[in-house]
Amino acid sequence: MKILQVIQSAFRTLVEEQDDTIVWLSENLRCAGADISVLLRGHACLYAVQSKVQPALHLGDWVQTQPADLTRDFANLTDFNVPVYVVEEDLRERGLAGRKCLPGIKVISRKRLTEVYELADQVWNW
Amino acid sequence: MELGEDMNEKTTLTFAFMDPPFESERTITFFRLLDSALDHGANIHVFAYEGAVALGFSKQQAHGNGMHNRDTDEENHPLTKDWISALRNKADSLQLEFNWVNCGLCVDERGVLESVHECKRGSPADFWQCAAASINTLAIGTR
Amino acid sequence: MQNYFFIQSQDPYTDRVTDDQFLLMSQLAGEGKEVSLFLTQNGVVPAAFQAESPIFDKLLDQKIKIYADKFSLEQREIAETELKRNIESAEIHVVVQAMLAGDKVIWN
Repeated sequence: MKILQVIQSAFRTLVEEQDDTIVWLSENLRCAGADISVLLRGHACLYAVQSKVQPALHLGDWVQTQPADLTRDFANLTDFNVPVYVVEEDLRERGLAGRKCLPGIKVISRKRLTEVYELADQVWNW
Repeated sequence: MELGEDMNEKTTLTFAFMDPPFESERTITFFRLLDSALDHGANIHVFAYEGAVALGFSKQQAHGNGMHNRDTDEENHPLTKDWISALRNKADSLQLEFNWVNCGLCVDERGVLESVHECKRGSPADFWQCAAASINTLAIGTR
Repeated sequence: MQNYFFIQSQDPYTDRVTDDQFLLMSQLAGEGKEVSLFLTQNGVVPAAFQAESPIFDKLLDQKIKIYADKFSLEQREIAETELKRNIESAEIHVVVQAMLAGDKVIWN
């Protein structure tokens, strides 16, 4: 069974959870043996062009020591042959078309989205 | 935790949900879907992720509503833990399975360690196990 | 061939992704896929007769089965007689029926 994980919400939990919780879930599903692919839509396209660890939060005398690292998390997917797609038009609308995508992330046009949906047996839209 | 072994693979549905109680209309639609799934004779598996682990928190308490001059009994405030119990009772009466798994790490960080007995502790691996044994899975994300 | 069953809870007035979902539905239907749409929560608002939602309205004349959740309509006091063409009010059961039929059921 092939699952397409669609991630649209972005930056919602990156500080509090020190992860994007759906990217984290995707890593877990892969480890559990699921045949998944990942599609980044909307603001989640910003994840595709991350280049460094998230800034650490400081509140009073509390300092974050393990900020989220999306570059690591996406490598945990692409290094294990999980297809990860990002929508070209979403990047362009946000002025990101000129930025380099993380290794292994495939940029696809909105016109070809249906191909990605067709490859999956189930689509889990988060 | 043993999951799925007693479930008829052909009539089991899995639902993944993320919202805590009282914050979103999605919570209502989710519970309506579970109720409908039982009406259709489906066994149900729920993976409660992130905020949804609070849906079964056993220490939820009803209260009155002074603005409307209703005491606690009169207000009869909805509590999601009661909805879970009600759906479990319905499943039992229909001889259907109703398995609710809370993501354990999500429970820990939120401190909602006391759940109604219908809710068990698990992990994303359990979610995958049940999704793989179901005929379909609906994921309801949050915003 | 699996059918697609979209559940649209978000609305195009507050959530930009809603229009992207409508475009995806339109694309799939245009490619000959069987597509259904269940509007629920604020997602029912563009279904009202005089609601302005040009991208949603394009779906009305495509081969897409469109349902509007009766409960959500009743909450918002949108009468069934006030729905745009080719939209049927329905109970939430249609979602479960789609799941049981093995459709690709996609929530937004």
